[in-house]
Amino acid sequence: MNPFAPRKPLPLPLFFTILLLMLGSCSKPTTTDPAWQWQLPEGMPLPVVPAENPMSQAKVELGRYLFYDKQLSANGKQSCASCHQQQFAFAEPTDRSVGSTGQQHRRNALALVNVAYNNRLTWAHDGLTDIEQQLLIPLFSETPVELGLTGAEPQLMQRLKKPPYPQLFQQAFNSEQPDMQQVVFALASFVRSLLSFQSEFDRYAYQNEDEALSPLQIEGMNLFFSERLECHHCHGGFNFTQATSHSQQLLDLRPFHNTGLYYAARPGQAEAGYPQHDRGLAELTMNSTDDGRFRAPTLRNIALTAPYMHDGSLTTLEQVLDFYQAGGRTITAGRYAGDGRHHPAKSQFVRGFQLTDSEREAVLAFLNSLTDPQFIANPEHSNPWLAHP
Amino acid sequence: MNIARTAFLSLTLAVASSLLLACNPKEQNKALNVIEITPAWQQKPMACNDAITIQNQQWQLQYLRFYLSDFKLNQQPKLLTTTSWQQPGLALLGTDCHGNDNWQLTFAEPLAPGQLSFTLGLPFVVNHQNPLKASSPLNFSEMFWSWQLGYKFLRLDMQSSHFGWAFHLGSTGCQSASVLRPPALPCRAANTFAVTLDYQPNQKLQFNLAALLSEIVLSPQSSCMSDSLQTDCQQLFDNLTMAGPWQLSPAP
Repeated sequence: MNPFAPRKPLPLPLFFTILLLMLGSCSKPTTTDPAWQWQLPEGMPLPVVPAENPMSQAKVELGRYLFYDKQLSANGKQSCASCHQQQFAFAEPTDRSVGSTGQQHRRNALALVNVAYNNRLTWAHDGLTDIEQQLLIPLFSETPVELGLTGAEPQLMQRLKKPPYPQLFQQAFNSEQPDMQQVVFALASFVRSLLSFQSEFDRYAYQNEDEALSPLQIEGMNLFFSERLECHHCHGGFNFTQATSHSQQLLDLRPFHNTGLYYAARPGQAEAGYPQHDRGLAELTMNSTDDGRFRAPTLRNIALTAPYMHDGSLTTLEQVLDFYQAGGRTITAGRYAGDGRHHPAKSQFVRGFQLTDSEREAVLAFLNSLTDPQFIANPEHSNPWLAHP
Repeated sequence: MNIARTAFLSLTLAVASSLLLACNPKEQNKALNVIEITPAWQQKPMACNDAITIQNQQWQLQYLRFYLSDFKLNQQPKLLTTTSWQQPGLALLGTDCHGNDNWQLTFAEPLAPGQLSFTLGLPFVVNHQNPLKASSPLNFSEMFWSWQLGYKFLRLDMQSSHFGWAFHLGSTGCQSASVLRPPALPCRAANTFAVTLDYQPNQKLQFNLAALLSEIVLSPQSSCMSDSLQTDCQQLFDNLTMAGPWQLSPAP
């Protein structure tokens, strides 16, 4: 036989038999779930997902039920959605959140927008890089109590044995038996699915629709990205936060900044700074130069997520603009009296600027163009218990 | 038995040493395609934690990164390897002072002695691409301005106990419909700086910050964002012309 003769193609029936066998060997019961499709505009890089928790439609669906389920708190009074409400881009219109037992949190609930891309989570934590880690805080924290599940895991597991959970766990993890790790994996998958890329700004920037923004919004956008205002130094990249990484982004960024919100005398402390009860990144690093440094949050849907700053101490976007225009905040009376503008750790890019009334209007118009109405109306992100009470 | 063992051991040693010897020239070649870069203050290597005294004030580096591109040796293009810090035609060097450092250029081939030239900055065709679709190190939002203006070719942030000071170098006078649209024609001021040096193998490339800041009075007003109408920017641009802050050391 001539080894160089062209190979005869396989007989067609044999070919199909082999193909079927190959396909058959792949379709174990665990992979009946369709592969996850990221709903991303063309060219947008893929988020990085931990290898141990790949995305699946079934996990996202289970996570959605869990996210909206008040049984996830020890006393049955709160769910994740109590503080992360879809209509407010998964933030809440409250300066500082209140936990399931009524305890006041010291910080403002962050919006959950494109969190799949975050390389740092929460307001001021240098080490929290995965949603799977971060979720343990709202689930188990005792100071303050949020969902308050510490010690209540057995009760939670009992609750998760009732419909519709067995079926949801079966589809997501191929077992009706719930466990805490799976709860965390499913919640993380749901949070990763909360993607917002359909604002007017997106259509202008990434779909090349020149008409998507008004001349006023374009003027505001030009100001936003100008050296005069310096906004984009900290709110840069496609998520308007440095705390972004993705599959093409191999280098790490450090996204924490002091914006000059406080510079108050602190009882028992030699140096003035941010209030003792919340000093930002310095609490973790024990480094005074990190005093008052918080993560720059995304500005996507920012018009929906009032009030602003880590403690919700600025009520409106107009106030935020005034704050940056002044280069920080002066508090004239009370416990936190002091001139935040002179905080030595303040970012040098918060220097203050002048804006005419029309320029101010333009910047606000631009910030409003970052709102994605489809995101807050998307039924895939909504409360599933309303459909299945 | 013993003889056999000894013979076996000797043979093993002989093979191992010949393997090692065979590796040696390769090791040397590897070193010859790397140029180390050192940030320096008046010829003395400096690090982020060092306090430097400028006009009787203590300063610390907070951020120093820059793009170099268009490498040539004796006018012949020299390509770099592809890593997260470099593409064949360009590299991002420097530090964010939080442990993310890159201080070396790795070329695809060894470098012979000769006239080494490169550009501080990025070519126009690269500078205004969509950064979303760019690959590392061009997808780095800390070094990016906008489609219209492109990248910060050099970003220097410094902090004293009283105030911060920054120099961000990049193209200006770029005309387009908005900051998010790339310019069709080259910018009025590209603000890239060509450097040529006499290179000998194993030399290090020093970036002398003192030379860059020569005659600049650091004040909250003298930070420069590449506005060519600002006198401090003019001075910084002057300090970057010719070899400027670049020096190869030790001298051949």
